[in-house]
Amino acid sequence: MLAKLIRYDMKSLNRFLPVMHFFVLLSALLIRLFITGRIQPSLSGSQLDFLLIITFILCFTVIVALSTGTYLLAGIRFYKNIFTDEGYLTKTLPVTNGTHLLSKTIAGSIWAVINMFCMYLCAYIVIWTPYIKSLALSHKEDILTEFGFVGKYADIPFSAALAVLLLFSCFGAVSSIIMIYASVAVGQLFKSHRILGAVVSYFVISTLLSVLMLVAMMLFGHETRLLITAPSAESDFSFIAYMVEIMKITTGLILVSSTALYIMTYYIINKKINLL
Amino acid sequence: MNPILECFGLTKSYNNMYHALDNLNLTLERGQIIGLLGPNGSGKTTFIKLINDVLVPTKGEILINGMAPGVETKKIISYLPERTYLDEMMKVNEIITYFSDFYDNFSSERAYQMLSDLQIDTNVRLRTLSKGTKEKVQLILVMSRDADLYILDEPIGGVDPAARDYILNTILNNYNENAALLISTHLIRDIENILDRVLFIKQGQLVLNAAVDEIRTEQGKSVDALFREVFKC
Repeated sequence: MLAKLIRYDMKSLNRFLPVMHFFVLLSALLIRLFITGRIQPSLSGSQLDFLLIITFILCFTVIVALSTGTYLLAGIRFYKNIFTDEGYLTKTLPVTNGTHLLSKTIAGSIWAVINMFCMYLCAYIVIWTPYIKSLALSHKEDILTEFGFVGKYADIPFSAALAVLLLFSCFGAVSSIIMIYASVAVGQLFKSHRILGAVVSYFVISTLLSVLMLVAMMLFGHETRLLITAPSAESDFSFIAYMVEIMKITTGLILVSSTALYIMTYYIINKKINLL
Repeated sequence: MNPILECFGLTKSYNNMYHALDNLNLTLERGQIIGLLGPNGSGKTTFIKLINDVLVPTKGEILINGMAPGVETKKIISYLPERTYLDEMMKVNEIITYFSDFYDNFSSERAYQMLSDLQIDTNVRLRTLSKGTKEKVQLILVMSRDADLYILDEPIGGVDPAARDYILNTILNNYNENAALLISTHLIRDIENILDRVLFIKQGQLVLNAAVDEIRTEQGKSVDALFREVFKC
């Protein structure tokens, strides 16, 4: 039954998301072709600044729109299928509520991960032009030193660092889906304006998690101000060492918060739903 | 064989104040068509939701074929809610595949036959159909299952009188003697002739559980007349 549910959840998400991602990749190609691909050493400072600003704005807009769209559609599918009139069918299928939640979490996560890979691919297409590539490779040592790839981090292969980054991003993508579903479920506890309740719940949950993250970072002595104050020629601050520590704390927090949110969502679906 | 439906002290209240259902005790046997009747807000839909595990009772117990609501009971209950519960982006034939994927007792052949009888195109999306046609599609899906308990919430409310006859015939022709059929409706006169038993619910409480023949012979009234008398405003 789980496989069948996932198939139908994916089918529903596949109505819009592949088209959206295709257009975003197409946009990245166009940005590369008409903007970043034209960055050359012969350009003046103001021309270069203009191209970089345009690139940044376009990339930011496209990536934010894509991510928002993906998570929004996954949330809408979850909301519609469980909490609206469709819920009368969903809730009367011979399947447990846990299986429904798992199916939607898997389907949403698959698209969240695809979305993440798509964003990295967009960034690669837009940024990694032959000129920027040659510039980066010729200053490779300086860049690696600046990012703290020295000492015990000096011998980390690029592929390993990329794999860790991707794995961490996948983890984040799945936790975002769980958080969105939890927000939608909490919104159902409101007597009216349940969609608004879900949006408010999302902001409350994300704010709470940010505060928890901040507290955890302070407890472990990794305040964000270190990023500004510590890096200097004299200090032994390492950006990559700092980020590794942050990733460890974030992973722990995500693991705990996602588990708690998942259980809470399950409890609401199981015990608290009152379809209107 | 277990009774198809048993309720013991079934209560559903909201905020510990309003009792949508209050201490309902009931046993329903198989092989009958039961009318679940009552005015608006009397608790009919709450009762139906509880049977279907869409709501959780505040107190009491409900058993379907001896089992508490769950995966096993959903396999044997075929439920038609009072609203469109299908994904309107799906085509009719996709919905039939969906039902046959999830319900082992669903007959695609029967569904296609009934859709053909009502001249409903199976290759169109549900959102393109009229409200009445959507209701017909839903009823066909529900009646195409070999269930033990059919629960129909306002099955004929949105369809034209001509289609009502077809629907009522469909209901009569598609349930077997081991099954029971619970129909909630306000159109008592239209369905009175097919009912074996009626349940009157008033303010969350069962006020009458009687065979239709008993009402006719002992009280000399139709169900419609008795309903108007009991629920007179």
